[in-house]
Amino acid sequence: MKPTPSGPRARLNQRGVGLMEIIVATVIATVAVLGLAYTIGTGRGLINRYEVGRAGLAEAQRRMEGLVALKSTAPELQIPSGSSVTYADPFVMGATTVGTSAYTVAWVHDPSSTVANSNDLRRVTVRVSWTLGGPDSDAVTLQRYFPAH
Amino acid sequence: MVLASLVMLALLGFYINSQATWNDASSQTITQRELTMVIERITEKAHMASQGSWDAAGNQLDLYPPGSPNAFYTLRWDQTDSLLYESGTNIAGGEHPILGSRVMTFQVACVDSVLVLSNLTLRTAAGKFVSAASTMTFMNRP
Repeated sequence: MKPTPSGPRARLNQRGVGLMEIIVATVIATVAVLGLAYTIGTGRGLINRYEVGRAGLAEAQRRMEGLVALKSTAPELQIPSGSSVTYADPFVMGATTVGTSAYTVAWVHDPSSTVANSNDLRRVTVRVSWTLGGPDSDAVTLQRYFPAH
Repeated sequence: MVLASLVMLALLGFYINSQATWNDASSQTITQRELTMVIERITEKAHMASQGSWDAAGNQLDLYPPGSPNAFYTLRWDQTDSLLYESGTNIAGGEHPILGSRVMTFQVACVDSVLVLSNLTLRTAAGKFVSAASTMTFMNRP
């Protein structure tokens, strides 16, 4: 029969998982799980943000295409006074107003024009902006040049 | 032992919840991309057309080239399977669905030189609705 060691030598030979190892493993696992949870939450939030972004882009395209179809004499493209005018409407998604859909019509002087300070073109800038409950806002901007007359 | 069981249950709950969120997010992303793709597709075809017509009873949009009574592009919403089918000249494969997502609403109007897509609503695999609206001009551009 093999003799069994006793005393301090016996304690050194014992196998198992120490308390310190459990604590370190728990801390690592907790950090990993919290990191995963944060990543998933952030990803979900970004997808919701892109949902509004895509609708905003469609709204900006809608507005610009509608203006392209108009004649240059249409009231929507007129600049009553000054060098520019801005028209704004609410940006509605479903039944909820999430932001503003605005466009600005501004006179532009063509540098190649021989007439000084002449109004040669109209620059139409469509800007759809929205907020998602926080202080930050997002926007989509489209710009196009229209003939002056 | 009890503590270990609680930790395991919490981890299991977290895993199942995160998988549900992941699936939900993925299906919504796919549907949003499809929605944008359809709008881009209609815009591209509307720019090529000189006029269009909307058949509200048949949920069918037809786009016509200049000087021709025959549509070169057709988009039809089949309410039996809720899919959107496209067909037309130079489109291989005949009539086929252009989306994997189910279409809940497809409302179009053709007014003068403008095609108004007043509502296109898709349903994600997780049951969420994604919708958008836009306007396209008939530009008669080949």
